[in-house]
Amino acid sequence: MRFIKTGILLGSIFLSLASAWGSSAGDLLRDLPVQQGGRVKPYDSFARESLKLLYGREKFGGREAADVVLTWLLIPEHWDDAQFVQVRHSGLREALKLDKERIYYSPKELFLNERVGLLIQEMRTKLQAQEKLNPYFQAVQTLENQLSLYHGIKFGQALLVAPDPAGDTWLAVARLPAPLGEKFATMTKAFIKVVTAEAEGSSAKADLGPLQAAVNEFRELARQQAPEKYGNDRKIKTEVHLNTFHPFMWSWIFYLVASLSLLGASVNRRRSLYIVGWGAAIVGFGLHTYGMGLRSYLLGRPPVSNMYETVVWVPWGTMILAAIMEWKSRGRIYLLVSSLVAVFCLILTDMAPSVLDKTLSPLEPVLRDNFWLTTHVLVITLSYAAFFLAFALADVQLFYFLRDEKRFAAKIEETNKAIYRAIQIGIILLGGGIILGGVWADYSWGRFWGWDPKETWALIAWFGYLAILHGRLVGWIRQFGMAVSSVLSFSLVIMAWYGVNFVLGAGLHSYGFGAGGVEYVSAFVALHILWVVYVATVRQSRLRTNQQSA
Amino acid sequence: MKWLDRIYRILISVKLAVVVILVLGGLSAIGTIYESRYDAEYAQKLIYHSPLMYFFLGLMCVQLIMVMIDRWPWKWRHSPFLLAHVGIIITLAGSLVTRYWGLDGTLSLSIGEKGHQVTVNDRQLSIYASFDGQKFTPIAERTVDFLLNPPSDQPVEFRLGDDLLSVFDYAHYAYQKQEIVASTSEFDGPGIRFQLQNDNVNISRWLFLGRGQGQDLADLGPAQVVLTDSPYKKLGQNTIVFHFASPQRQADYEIRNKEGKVLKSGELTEGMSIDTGWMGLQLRILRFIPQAKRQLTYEKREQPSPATVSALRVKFRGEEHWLGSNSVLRLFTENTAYVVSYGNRRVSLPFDLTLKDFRVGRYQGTMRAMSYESDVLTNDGNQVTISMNNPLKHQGFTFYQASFQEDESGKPLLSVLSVNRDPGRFWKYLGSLMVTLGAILLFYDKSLKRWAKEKAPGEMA
Repeated sequence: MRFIKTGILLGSIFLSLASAWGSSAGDLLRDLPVQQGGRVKPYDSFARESLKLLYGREKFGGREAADVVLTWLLIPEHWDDAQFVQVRHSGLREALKLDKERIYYSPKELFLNERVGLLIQEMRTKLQAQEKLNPYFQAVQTLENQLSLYHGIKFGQALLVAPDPAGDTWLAVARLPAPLGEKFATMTKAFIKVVTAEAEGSSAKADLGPLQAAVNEFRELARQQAPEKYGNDRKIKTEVHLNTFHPFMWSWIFYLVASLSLLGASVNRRRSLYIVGWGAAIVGFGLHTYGMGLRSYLLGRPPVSNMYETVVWVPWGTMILAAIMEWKSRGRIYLLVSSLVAVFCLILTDMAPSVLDKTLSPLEPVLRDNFWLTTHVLVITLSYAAFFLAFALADVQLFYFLRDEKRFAAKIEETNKAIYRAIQIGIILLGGGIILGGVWADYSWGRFWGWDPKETWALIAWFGYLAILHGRLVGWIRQFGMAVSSVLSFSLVIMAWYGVNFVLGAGLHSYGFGAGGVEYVSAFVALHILWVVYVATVRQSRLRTNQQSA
Repeated sequence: MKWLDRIYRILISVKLAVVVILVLGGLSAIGTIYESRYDAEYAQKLIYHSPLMYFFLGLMCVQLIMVMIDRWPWKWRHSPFLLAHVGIIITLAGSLVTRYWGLDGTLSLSIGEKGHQVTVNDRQLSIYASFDGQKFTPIAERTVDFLLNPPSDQPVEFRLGDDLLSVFDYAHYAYQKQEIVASTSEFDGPGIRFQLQNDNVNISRWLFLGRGQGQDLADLGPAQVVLTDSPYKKLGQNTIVFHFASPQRQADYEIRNKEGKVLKSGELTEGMSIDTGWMGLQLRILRFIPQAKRQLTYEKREQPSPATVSALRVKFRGEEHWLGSNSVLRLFTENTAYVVSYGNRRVSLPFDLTLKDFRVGRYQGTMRAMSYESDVLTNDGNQVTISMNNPLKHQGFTFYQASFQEDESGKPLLSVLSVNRDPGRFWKYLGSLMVTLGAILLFYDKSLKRWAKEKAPGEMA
């Protein structure tokens, strides 16, 4: 129990740090409900997503999205000339003959660029012909979305702030009926006052009172339009909390502390470090669970329906499996390795927002309300978690082989058992998951197995690991072979997990499809193959010298 | 019988099992690449249901059976191993049953329609004949698979009276193109192909007025080009107006700015070239056909796109014709009219189903579908609602809500139900359950390894 207490203590210190950060004008607006993308969301999410689409980040020049996006509406003349619209595709920049030195351009130079309109038209023609867009035209599509969103916000059409009693679509700022419009204007005036005061850097805090009052008045009047459509207050607040608190960031920080402590403990064998490691891992895990819990609450379903959500969920599974295994076997490798896996995955979700889209979005009809769907995805991704653990363990084990096989014989034996165990668990979970997937397909589409690429690749991965276990049974694969094959066969999991959606891009699981990151994932796989080859070569030549000297 | 013994040894060896597993995995991987490059049908026919795949699946079953025989007499401790292996065989057998005796197709109904015709994946070529041009009677019907048996190797022939209809070529992916060609009918309207070009832009398009159509428009973003037979008034965009006067079969052009001011105008002739005055854009009239019609042609493609269909080429009385999937071709002799149709085979259900109503629920403020459901009336008078994940089971068939079609305004036109009968279902579920149970027990059975050692000392090395 000691390390649980340590963990709680560490946790509360960090939490108080997180909440102590200052507030600004936009803070007061954050939890105003707006409608976008088929759901009611807080203005905070709207602002973050908009700024991310245009600028690629959730902050601009140190200012929060909630502040920035409202000023597009209030002082567009400033923004029209500001270079902040990101055009990432170099081919597109060239086609538009844009200044090569930059990747950010002002809305004005893009709107005035005669080629933009023509390219968008060409892209639309392709869409009408139902052609698959290549990355270049995907970039054109992004540009169109950027420009139309900016234009929509600037002219008060894209920001839907009050429910329409007569229809499903909410009223845009530009179409608010008189009393609401006035309230909105009062609110924005108060907002500008505060922002100006902040910008002038007056050391005394700007008076937020009038803004707060205006926001409340607007909210109440908007709610009166159609109270039942105005969204669930608690969900709105929770979503703002999820946006501002960043549970997954705190989680990986704790996991990082955990891995460092556990690494230290395995080097100098200090029990106190080991306990700190466990404590940090537990806090990290708690935050991790908390974050996923928030998402599940907001979405009303388990968070496993897109790439971002599975990249968050898989390390969660790895942590659980590793903690159980570490606890039961008294081994000292599982938790260390799984913390590293978790740090890696969670940092990834923070670093690659364009590939791993964390937007909370509504589901395709076939994915709604289904027990089998949830179960099969949870089970299959848990198997990925087990294979990820086996992979990372083998990765670490290869170091022992590289250093000195004899000296670390005991360590190698221990990790080998761990790898074997993790693969076993993975095989059972994956096999079960594939079958559950069949049950779901049968239940939803009326066919148990249809050679859909996603299910086929899950099967291929299963075959791969099955071959390893059988190969081990006949002595083809021993300790070193186990490490090598565990690293290599994880490529199959990466293919099933990421590759089918992002590389093959075919099949019925198209609701999870995305684009981007292929070069990084390929590099990840290639580096590991190189690593395996390197260790194998060094080991071979060492064995040969040993034989010769013997 | 030394060789028999040797074969037996090879079949029960785990080493061969590993090889078979790897081959199956490899084949499946190739299949997914095929599917990504081509399409699901291509991958299924050429890989997943290929003789090679069946051979290795069969070999795996033989191995599984042999290994079980080898362990005879079975003890209680063998049960996990037996469960897993028998489970795999039963699952595969169930899949085979589904493949040969099951039905998997779609039933599309518009609201109020009663139907029993299920479309399945197989293709069928049917020919109908008529002597009076009114009543057509079927004279030939054949299920064909031109992907596996290309007619370019072995033409498929039908005797129609004294003539021979020969299918001599097949394109699995053909791009359906509409060409605009000169027509002889005086009811046909004009077709104009123009080009707009400067240093950065090069666009060419057809504008075409079909029978009874008064206007055709190409919107190019900053500018638009309009072909019309009546005055055109819309402002707000740089506009080129081609005005066609039907009685004279002549056209003239006007180049207007955003305010509608006419910058240039004149008579339109084929091959003419004018400077529009906007961004150095040059307007060229590439073709001008006063009497034009659309004509369908097909072009072979290497890879599919949503716009491609499969298409055949047939020869009849020395003339060659294209015939696209799910379309018909009319052929005439002196005394007979033939209709040749190529498309998905249809299977009749033993009962009718009526679509009473269809509803689409949408995510608020968007056109994105949130849910959709069909109210159907069965032949015994029950009204049932079929929605996503809530199928209807009726007389051994299961009906799933698969998708729907809507018009541009979002009004649903058709509900698409997936129809399914699967006699192998029970076996697949039973087999799967056994595999799972077996695998779980297998890994918890500590005696397994010891037992494997006793049994195959040579292999454990």
